[in-house]
Amino acid sequence: MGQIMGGYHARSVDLNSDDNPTFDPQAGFQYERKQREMIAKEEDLISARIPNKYRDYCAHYLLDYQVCRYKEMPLLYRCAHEKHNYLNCEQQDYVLRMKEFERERRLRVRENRISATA
Amino acid sequence: MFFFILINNNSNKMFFLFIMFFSTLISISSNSWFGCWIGLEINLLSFIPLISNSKNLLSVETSLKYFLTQSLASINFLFMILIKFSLLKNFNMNNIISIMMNSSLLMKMGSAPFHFWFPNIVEGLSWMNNFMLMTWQKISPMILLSYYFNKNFLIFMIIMNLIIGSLGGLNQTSLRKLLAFSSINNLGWMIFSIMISENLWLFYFLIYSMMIFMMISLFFLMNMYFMNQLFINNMNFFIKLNLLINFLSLGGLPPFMGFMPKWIIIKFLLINKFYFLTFIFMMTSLIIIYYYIRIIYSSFMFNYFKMKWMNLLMKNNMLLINLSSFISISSMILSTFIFM
Amino acid sequence: MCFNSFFFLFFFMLINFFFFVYFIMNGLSVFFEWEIISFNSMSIVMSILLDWMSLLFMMFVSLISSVVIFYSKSYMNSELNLNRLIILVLMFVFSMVLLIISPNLISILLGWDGLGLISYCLVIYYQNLKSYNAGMLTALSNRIGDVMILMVICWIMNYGSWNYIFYFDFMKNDYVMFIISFMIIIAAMTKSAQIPFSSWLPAAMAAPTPVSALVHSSTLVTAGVYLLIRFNYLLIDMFFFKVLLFLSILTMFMSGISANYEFDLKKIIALSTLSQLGLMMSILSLGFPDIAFFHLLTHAMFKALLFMCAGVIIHMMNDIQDIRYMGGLSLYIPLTSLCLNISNLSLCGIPFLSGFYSKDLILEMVSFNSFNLMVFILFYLSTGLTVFYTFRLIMYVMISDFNLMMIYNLYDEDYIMLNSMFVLLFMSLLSGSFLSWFIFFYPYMIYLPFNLKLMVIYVSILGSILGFMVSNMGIYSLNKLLLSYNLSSFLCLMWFMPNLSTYGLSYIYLNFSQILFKNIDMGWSEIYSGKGIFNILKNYSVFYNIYQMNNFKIYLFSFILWFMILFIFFFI
Repeated sequence: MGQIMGGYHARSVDLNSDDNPTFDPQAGFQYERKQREMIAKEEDLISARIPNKYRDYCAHYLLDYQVCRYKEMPLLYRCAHEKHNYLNCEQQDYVLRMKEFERERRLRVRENRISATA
Repeated sequence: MFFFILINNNSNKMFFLFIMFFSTLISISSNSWFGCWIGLEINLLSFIPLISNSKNLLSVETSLKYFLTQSLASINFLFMILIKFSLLKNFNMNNIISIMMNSSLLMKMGSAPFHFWFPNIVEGLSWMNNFMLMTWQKISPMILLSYYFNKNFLIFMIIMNLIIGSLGGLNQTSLRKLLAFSSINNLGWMIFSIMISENLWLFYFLIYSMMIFMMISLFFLMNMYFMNQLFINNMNFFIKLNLLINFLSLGGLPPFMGFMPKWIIIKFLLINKFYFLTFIFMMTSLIIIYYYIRIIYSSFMFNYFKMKWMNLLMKNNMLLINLSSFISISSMILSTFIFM
Repeated sequence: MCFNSFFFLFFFMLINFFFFVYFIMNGLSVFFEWEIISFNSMSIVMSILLDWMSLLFMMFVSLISSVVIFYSKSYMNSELNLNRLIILVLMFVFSMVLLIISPNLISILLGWDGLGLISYCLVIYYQNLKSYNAGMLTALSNRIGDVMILMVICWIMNYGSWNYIFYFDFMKNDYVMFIISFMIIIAAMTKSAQIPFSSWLPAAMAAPTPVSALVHSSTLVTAGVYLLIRFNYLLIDMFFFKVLLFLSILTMFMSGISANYEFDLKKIIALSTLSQLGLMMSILSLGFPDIAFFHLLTHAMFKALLFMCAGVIIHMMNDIQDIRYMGGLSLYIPLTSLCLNISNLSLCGIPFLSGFYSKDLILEMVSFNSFNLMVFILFYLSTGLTVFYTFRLIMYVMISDFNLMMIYNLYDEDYIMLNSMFVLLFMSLLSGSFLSWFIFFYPYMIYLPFNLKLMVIYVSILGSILGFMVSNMGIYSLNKLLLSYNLSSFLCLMWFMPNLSTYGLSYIYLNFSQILFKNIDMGWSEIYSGKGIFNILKNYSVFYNIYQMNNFKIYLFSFILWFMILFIFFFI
């Protein structure tokens, strides 16, 4: 629900939630930003038959969770730690995407302001 | 016919019966029209003593009526033969003389439009005499008809036969008159079959006479002359079933025996492209089946009355009744096994 | 007979449970095929698909049905022909199992039609007029779904076989699949009683209570949801899924409102089932089939328990189902009211009961993903309404004063019924968390603001307060709702859908067919065929008789006349 309000707020700069960032990733940052890299290996993901939409940057935690699930079945409450790790990673990833969205919006607002005064 | 022979405890009548048989044979197998006429006359003369019974005034009157009509027809037949011999030298069948010869033969048979005597006389005869009248007496006029007929006239006569046979029977309650009109209707079918081939007529005639025999023997054994006598509820079930089967067979309903000759005649009708005539055959058959079914329906299903003092015991004749039911049902199917 | 079938089904449930754990551990799914007949190029093959979803559902169905049959040994012990009921229930379970395990449309049709037919037989089990009407409404509404599935069978012949699971990915953009998806959605809507077809579910409460516990809470009405879960890959991007979303959230909302006006105990429970079905369908049409399946299973547990408690209460109230006669039952029947309370609270989504896991997950997914404002509002409003009518029910049944008679004896210790309820109580407490471990292979991450997270609790508290206040009636209370008579009758009578489905649909046609029958069947068509022709023929025959009954001399004379005419022609 909050996404809708946030998305609505960004319409004025013509920004939808599916758009990619268009500005330079390094602009405005003091430290050096690195490209995120996948920790889980491709052949591990393929052999575990994880569906495509779950093969993101948190997939190594997901693999650990699946391994723990298979080992502890049927007493799956014992996998709570791995599940918590995975969900934490997912939440961090979500927050990161939220921040990227907000950064994009602000940069566009700034650009509009600069081009309006110029 | 065996029944007739068997129940005839009068040796005079036996004598006249044999003369009647021979007269038909004379009429059929002669090679001159005179011989035919002689056969017809002897037929008439020998049939009259069979049906007249001096104790019963109705049968005397009936035999007199029969004598008058048949003799009129015979006279006309003789006259037309002589005119044909003297004045007409060709063999063309489509002329007025053939019409006149055919009408006298039709009157002999009891075919429309000269059929008015037929229901009257049938009303006055007993069942076995009726059987003779309806089957045997038709043989020689039919065969003579096949020797010299006018096609257009006969087709018109067929249509009249069918219509009168069906419409006239709608309003009857006497079983004899009902079978008379049905006989007139079947005459239409038989006349058409004569026009195709004599063999076909023989086939139709044999099956028709077998069906009529079964019906008439049933009515004779039960001594029933009117429709309201059929509604007695304590009839044996097999008798009612036999009645149903025979009536439906006479009407020409498919799995029964009577369907087969009608089927073959319809096939010949369609091959020779008599389409309108087929339609009339069909529709009149429908009307006839209607009034048969009306009788059977009432006798099967309605609970009219149950007589306490007269139980219809027919133990000695159950063989005949069951045999006739069996033949009526199965003969069409069995014939396919035998002949195909 | 009861004990035999109870043991058989219980054993079947255990088998299913062990196979389910084995299958889900190893990620197995088994596809059996038996070739029945094979001609030259045609073969008839019976196939069975066993994967963890079907085994889990079969386990739940057999558990509930075994417990219900055991319960009905005591509930219906005065029934002379109890064996018929048990046989019907067993045939019902068989049809349901056939529906669950079948990967092709013909065996789905066998199970589907079997379900519809046997639920009709079960609804009309008490043979009175109300049951007959209810059964007719049930059977005909279900029949529409059957017709839709038959047409799907016709359309899917285009692809060569009836095994629908093989065609989802390949044929998604095809015109044929479009039509198939439309018809499958309508079939599921009739079976699961969504908005155009929802009038049969409250009416089907004319069935005996154990039958309602089995049929109308967990198995029959979830068959439609199960079918859509199986077809989910096909239907995800289709337009009709959005239509289904719209109709199912309206169903949820409508039945929540109507349950607040009802005073019949079983009808309230039926409307709450309808509301939860709307919830299941809507979360399915939003694209989360596994959450819908989860809610289906947990709902089956506590709803069956709720029906069984209602059965015990109805028995004690001398067969009165009206809640205005009940009250204060928690003092007298502690164990039954324990079960009733737990199932009611589980229905509301009170934390850590079984209903909480599924319902809360649904509501959080709705808040987290970006959906419509109307979807959001109706979801939360319906949750609040659920709590509203639940608390109203608890107030009426459990808490106020007893309203039936002066002297009463409320007997609770019928241990057959109680034992069967305890089994379901145990499952209803634990199945939520137990299933949430198994079903979700890939956990859902949900990250919500604080107030949005607590929105469920706000709505529940609001609903409970309203439920408490509405049911505080005394002798002096005025019913102010009657002032807005039109609006309140609209809301109360399920938005007039029963009337529209029954009288509204049939009135025009019956009227028209009366006109047709009188004027054409009994009128003109009798004159132009039938009687008319008979009259014509009869008149002809009578007319002919005038010629027939004549003087004999005239016949002979006419013959001579004929010959004279012909003779003259001869010489011309």
